[in-house]
Amino acid sequence: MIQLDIFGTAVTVAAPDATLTEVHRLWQPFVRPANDRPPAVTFQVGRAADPTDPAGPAVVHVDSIVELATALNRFALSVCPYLAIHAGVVRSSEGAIAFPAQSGAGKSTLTAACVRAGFGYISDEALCLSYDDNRVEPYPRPLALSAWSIRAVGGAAGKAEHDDVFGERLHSPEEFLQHQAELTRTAADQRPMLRHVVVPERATTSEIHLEPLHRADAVALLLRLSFNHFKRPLDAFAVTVAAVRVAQTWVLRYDNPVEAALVLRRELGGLLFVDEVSDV
Amino acid sequence: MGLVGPPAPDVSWQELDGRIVVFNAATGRAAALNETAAAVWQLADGQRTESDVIDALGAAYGMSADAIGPDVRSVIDQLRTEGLLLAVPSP
Repeated sequence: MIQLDIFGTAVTVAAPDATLTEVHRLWQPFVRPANDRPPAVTFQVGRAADPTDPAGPAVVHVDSIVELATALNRFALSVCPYLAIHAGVVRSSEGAIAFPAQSGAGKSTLTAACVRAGFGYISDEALCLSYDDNRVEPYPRPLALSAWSIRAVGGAAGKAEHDDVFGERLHSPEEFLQHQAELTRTAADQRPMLRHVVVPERATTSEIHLEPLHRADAVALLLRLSFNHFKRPLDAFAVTVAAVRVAQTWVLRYDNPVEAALVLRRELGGLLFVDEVSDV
Repeated sequence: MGLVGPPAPDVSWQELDGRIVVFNAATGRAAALNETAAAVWQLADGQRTESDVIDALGAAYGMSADAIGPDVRSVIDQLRTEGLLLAVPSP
């Protein structure tokens, strides 16, 4: 079994050894010593529920690692002690860059393209802001790419800058999970400040436009996309305003996510987590 | 004609770069006010009537009450509908 720390809540993952090895790689930054604390939930991968199982903490049965990722994500959102906003999040040496958007808007693909362009990975699901100091918290989910996203990111970028970023392991015919440890790289600050909010909008033209967005509009959008602001509404408003006050806010209109990521690297990049990058 | 405002008890607001963003904790909804709505918001103290607000904004923008009145009334209605401003009858 492996124990994971999900926002301070211990959970265990039980699975065959080969699967556990993969789970360990995928959630490596969140792995804790086994039996560190009593788990709130056990996620059992690959074995159906058995009525003879001993009584104990709640057990969630899932069939695959992809299902485990979904179940863990749902659990993480339910216990998240921070303000969680639907967004992809990457980082440079200057801080975090958030891409707030609904499901299906291309967050994961843009996030993946940014990782490939040299940004560090934080999340393709949620921007988590601490209520204490507005900093961006790590999020326990591997980057999940659809087959379409892999083609979109891999097919248009030319030479791969990091072979390890988009390897060959497909976790299902439809979805690919990327190891967080490899994506996070050598992050000097694990809780960066939010430096940019970039609202992605898909355009039909090949031109890419990165235009300023008023901070007031950004605050309203972030709160609309929050998963849990209803738990602490006044604090959610306060932390969102505080975070956005010290960030720059943008709208990114693009068609090609790879080229969009290169524009972001050029305009917002700061010091990235790569040794060599190709020219735009 | 009722008084305009004040803001509802669950509503918070902040000024950001010259614009106002309001948040209704009761509904969980946030909105960034446009220029007209922000101007109304700043006058919505529960003491002024709609006519007072229209006259004040007309003077500020150099417009007659007839010209600016419909827009201002529409904004006040929207702010009330969203639960951002209380509707208080005139004494």
